[in-house]
Amino acid sequence: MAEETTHYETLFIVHPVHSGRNPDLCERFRGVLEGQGATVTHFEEWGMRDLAYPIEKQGRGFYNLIQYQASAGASDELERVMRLSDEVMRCMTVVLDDDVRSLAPTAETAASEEPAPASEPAAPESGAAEAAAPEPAEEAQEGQEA
Amino acid sequence: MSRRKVCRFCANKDLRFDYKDTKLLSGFMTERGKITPSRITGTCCWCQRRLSKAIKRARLVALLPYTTVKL
Repeated sequence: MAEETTHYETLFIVHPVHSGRNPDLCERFRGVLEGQGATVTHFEEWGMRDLAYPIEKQGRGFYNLIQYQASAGASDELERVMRLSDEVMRCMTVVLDDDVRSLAPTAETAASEEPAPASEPAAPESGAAEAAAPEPAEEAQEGQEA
Repeated sequence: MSRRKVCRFCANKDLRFDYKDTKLLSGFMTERGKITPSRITGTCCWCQRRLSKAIKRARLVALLPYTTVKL
Protein backbone atom coordinates (compact mmCIF):
# COMPACT_ATOMS: atom_id res chain seq x y z
CA MET A 1 0.00 0.00 0.00
CA ALA A 2 1.62 3.16 -1.20
CA GLU A 3 -1.04 5.50 0.19
CA GLU A 4 -1.16 6.00 3.91
CA THR A 5 -4.26 4.58 5.53
CA THR A 6 -5.87 5.04 8.92
CA HIS A 7 -8.40 3.02 10.91
CA TYR A 8 -11.68 4.86 11.24
CA GLU A 9 -14.93 4.15 12.94
CA THR A 10 -18.23 5.64 11.91
CA LEU A 11 -21.31 5.43 14.09
CA PHE A 12 -24.54 6.41 12.42
CA ILE A 13 -28.15 6.53 13.53
CA VAL A 14 -30.86 5.62 11.04
CA HIS A 15 -34.26 7.27 11.35
CA PRO A 16 -36.71 4.78 12.96
CA VAL A 17 -39.13 5.21 10.05
CA HIS A 18 -36.43 3.96 7.66
CA SER A 19 -35.05 1.23 9.92
CA GLY A 20 -36.60 -1.43 7.66
CA ARG A 21 -34.30 -0.26 4.88
CA ASN A 22 -31.26 -0.51 7.11
CA PRO A 23 -29.64 -3.47 5.27
CA ASP A 24 -29.91 -1.60 1.96
CA LEU A 25 -28.40 1.52 3.51
CA CYS A 26 -25.50 -0.39 5.03
CA GLU A 27 -24.86 -2.03 1.70
CA ARG A 28 -24.84 1.40 0.07
CA PHE A 29 -22.36 2.84 2.58
CA ARG A 30 -20.22 -0.23 2.23
CA GLY A 31 -20.24 0.38 -1.52
CA VAL A 32 -19.21 4.01 -1.00
CA LEU A 33 -16.28 2.94 1.14
CA GLU A 34 -15.13 0.25 -1.22
CA GLY A 35 -15.49 2.68 -4.11
CA GLN A 36 -12.98 4.87 -2.26
CA GLY A 37 -10.58 1.97 -1.87
CA ALA A 38 -11.34 1.38 1.81
CA THR A 39 -11.42 -2.00 3.55
CA VAL A 40 -14.30 -2.62 5.95
CA THR A 41 -12.84 -4.44 8.94
CA HIS A 42 -15.88 -4.63 11.17
CA PHE A 43 -19.57 -4.00 10.96
CA GLU A 44 -21.96 -4.01 13.86
CA GLU A 45 -25.69 -3.48 14.06
CA TRP A 46 -26.70 -2.27 17.49
CA GLY A 47 -30.36 -2.14 16.57
CA MET A 48 -33.06 0.15 17.85
CA ARG A 49 -32.03 2.14 20.90
CA ASP A 50 -33.44 4.93 22.96
CA LEU A 51 -31.73 8.26 22.29
CA ALA A 52 -30.45 10.29 25.24
CA TYR A 53 -32.24 13.29 23.74
CA PRO A 54 -34.59 13.63 20.78
CA ILE A 55 -33.06 14.04 17.33
CA GLU A 56 -35.39 15.19 14.56
CA LYS A 57 -38.21 14.80 17.10
CA GLN A 58 -37.50 11.08 17.39
CA GLY A 59 -36.94 9.38 20.71
CA ARG A 60 -35.40 6.25 19.21
CA GLY A 61 -32.94 5.43 16.49
CA PHE A 62 -31.34 2.49 14.73
CA TYR A 63 -27.61 2.42 15.53
CA ASN A 64 -24.93 1.02 13.24
CA LEU A 65 -21.17 0.93 13.57
CA ILE A 66 -18.66 0.54 10.74
CA GLN A 67 -14.94 0.19 11.21
CA TYR A 68 -12.72 0.48 8.20
CA GLN A 69 -9.23 1.17 7.03
CA ALA A 70 -9.01 3.98 4.54
CA SER A 71 -7.22 7.07 3.34
CA ALA A 72 -8.45 10.44 4.56
CA GLY A 73 -10.70 11.08 1.56
CA ALA A 74 -12.84 7.98 2.07
CA SER A 75 -14.20 8.97 5.48
CA ASP A 76 -14.99 12.45 4.19
CA GLU A 77 -16.89 10.97 1.27
CA LEU A 78 -18.81 8.58 3.55
CA GLU A 79 -19.79 11.41 5.87
CA ARG A 80 -20.87 13.52 2.92
CA VAL A 81 -23.11 10.75 1.59
CA MET A 82 -24.56 10.14 5.06
CA ARG A 83 -25.34 13.80 5.63
CA LEU A 84 -27.09 13.98 2.28
CA SER A 85 -29.26 10.93 2.90
CA ASP A 86 -32.54 11.58 4.70
CA GLU A 87 -32.46 8.20 6.44
CA VAL A 88 -29.38 8.98 8.55
CA MET A 89 -30.23 11.24 11.50
CA ARG A 90 -26.74 11.56 12.91
CA CYS A 91 -23.28 10.25 12.11
CA MET A 92 -19.87 10.57 13.69
CA THR A 93 -16.47 9.44 12.47
CA VAL A 94 -13.55 8.98 14.85
CA VAL A 95 -10.02 7.73 14.34
CA LEU A 96 -9.32 4.44 16.09
CA ASP A 97 -6.49 4.69 18.60
CA ASP A 98 -5.65 3.38 22.05
CA ASP A 99 -8.85 4.87 23.46
CA VAL A 100 -11.24 3.65 20.81
CA ARG A 101 -10.07 0.21 19.82
CA SER A 102 -10.95 -1.85 16.80
CA LEU A 103 -13.30 -4.73 17.37
CA ALA A 104 -12.82 -8.32 16.25
CA PRO A 105 -13.49 -8.73 12.54
CA THR A 106 -15.14 -11.40 10.32
CA ALA A 107 -17.00 -13.75 12.72
CA GLU A 108 -19.03 -11.00 14.35
CA THR A 109 -19.40 -9.21 11.05
CA ALA A 110 -21.29 -12.21 9.68
CA ALA A 111 -23.18 -12.84 12.91
CA SER A 112 -24.35 -9.27 13.31
CA GLU A 113 -26.20 -9.40 10.01
CA GLU A 114 -28.41 -12.31 11.04
CA PRO A 115 -30.54 -10.63 13.72
CA ALA A 116 -31.62 -7.90 11.33
CA PRO A 117 -34.04 -9.95 9.16
CA ALA A 118 -35.21 -11.85 12.25
CA SER A 119 -36.62 -8.66 13.71
CA GLU A 120 -38.75 -8.18 10.60
CA PRO A 121 -42.05 -10.03 10.63
CA ALA A 122 -41.88 -11.21 7.01
CA ALA A 123 -40.90 -14.89 6.78
CA PRO A 124 -39.75 -15.01 3.12
CA GLU A 125 -36.98 -12.59 4.03
CA SER A 126 -35.03 -15.37 5.75
CA GLY A 127 -34.18 -16.92 2.38
CA ALA A 128 -32.76 -13.61 1.17
CA ALA A 129 -30.81 -13.24 4.39
CA GLU A 130 -29.12 -16.58 3.92
CA ALA A 131 -28.18 -15.60 0.40
CA ALA A 132 -26.79 -12.29 1.62
CA ALA A 133 -24.93 -13.67 4.62
CA PRO A 134 -21.97 -15.29 2.83
CA GLU A 135 -21.06 -12.05 1.06
CA PRO A 136 -19.48 -10.20 4.01
CA ALA A 137 -17.35 -13.23 4.75
CA GLU A 138 -16.03 -13.22 1.21
CA GLU A 139 -15.31 -9.52 1.45
CA ALA A 140 -13.44 -10.06 4.67
CA GLN A 141 -11.30 -12.72 3.06
CA GLU A 142 -10.51 -10.40 0.21
CA GLY A 143 -9.53 -7.77 2.76
CA GLN A 144 -7.12 -10.15 4.46
CA GLU A 145 -5.49 -11.08 1.18
CA ALA A 146 -5.05 -7.43 0.27
CA MET B 1 -10.18 13.47 56.88
CA SER B 2 -11.21 12.17 53.50
CA ARG B 3 -9.30 9.36 51.80
CA ARG B 4 -6.79 10.37 49.14
CA LYS B 5 -8.49 10.20 45.76
CA VAL B 6 -6.83 8.17 43.02
CA CYS B 7 -7.35 8.52 39.30
CA ARG B 8 -9.40 5.46 38.33
CA PHE B 9 -7.96 5.39 34.84
CA CYS B 10 -4.38 5.42 36.07
CA ALA B 11 -5.15 2.76 38.68
CA ASN B 12 -6.83 0.45 36.19
CA LYS B 13 -5.06 0.32 32.85
CA ASP B 14 -7.87 -1.76 31.33
CA LEU B 15 -10.20 1.19 31.37
CA ARG B 16 -10.50 2.93 28.01
CA PHE B 17 -11.81 6.35 27.14
CA ASP B 18 -14.27 4.84 24.72
CA TYR B 19 -17.30 6.92 23.91
CA LYS B 20 -19.31 3.71 23.39
CA ASP B 21 -18.77 2.65 27.02
CA THR B 22 -21.65 4.69 28.38
CA LYS B 23 -21.82 2.72 31.60
CA LEU B 24 -18.33 3.85 32.55
CA LEU B 25 -18.72 7.40 31.30
CA SER B 26 -22.04 7.99 33.03
CA GLY B 27 -20.27 7.31 36.32
CA PHE B 28 -18.32 10.51 35.71
CA MET B 29 -21.40 12.62 35.16
CA THR B 30 -23.76 14.29 37.58
CA GLU B 31 -27.47 13.58 37.80
CA ARG B 32 -27.99 16.58 35.59
CA GLY B 33 -25.68 15.21 32.93
CA LYS B 34 -22.77 17.53 33.63
CA ILE B 35 -19.22 16.21 33.56
CA THR B 36 -18.05 15.77 37.16
CA PRO B 37 -15.00 17.95 37.94
CA SER B 38 -11.74 16.13 38.48
CA ARG B 39 -11.47 17.66 41.96
CA ILE B 40 -14.52 15.57 42.91
CA THR B 41 -13.61 12.31 41.16
CA GLY B 42 -9.85 12.51 41.60
CA THR B 43 -9.23 11.90 37.91
CA CYS B 44 -5.83 13.22 36.88
CA CYS B 45 -5.51 16.07 34.42
CA TRP B 46 -4.44 13.94 31.46
CA CYS B 47 -7.25 11.41 32.01
CA GLN B 48 -9.85 14.10 32.67
CA ARG B 49 -9.17 15.69 29.28
CA ARG B 50 -9.60 12.40 27.47
CA LEU B 51 -12.62 11.50 29.59
CA SER B 52 -14.36 14.75 28.79
CA LYS B 53 -13.64 14.22 25.11
CA ALA B 54 -15.19 10.74 25.26
CA ILE B 55 -18.28 12.08 27.03
CA LYS B 56 -18.64 14.83 24.45
CA ARG B 57 -18.41 12.29 21.65
CA ALA B 58 -21.05 10.13 23.33
CA ARG B 59 -23.30 13.17 23.64
CA LEU B 60 -23.03 13.92 19.94
CA VAL B 61 -24.47 10.55 19.00
CA ALA B 62 -27.13 10.66 21.74
CA LEU B 63 -25.62 7.87 23.81
CA LEU B 64 -25.39 10.29 26.73
CA PRO B 65 -27.49 13.37 27.46
CA TYR B 66 -26.31 16.98 27.31
CA THR B 67 -28.74 17.64 30.12
CA THR B 68 -31.43 15.67 31.90
CA VAL B 69 -33.42 18.78 32.69
CA LYS B 70 -36.71 18.84 30.82
CA LEU B 71 -37.79 22.19 29.50
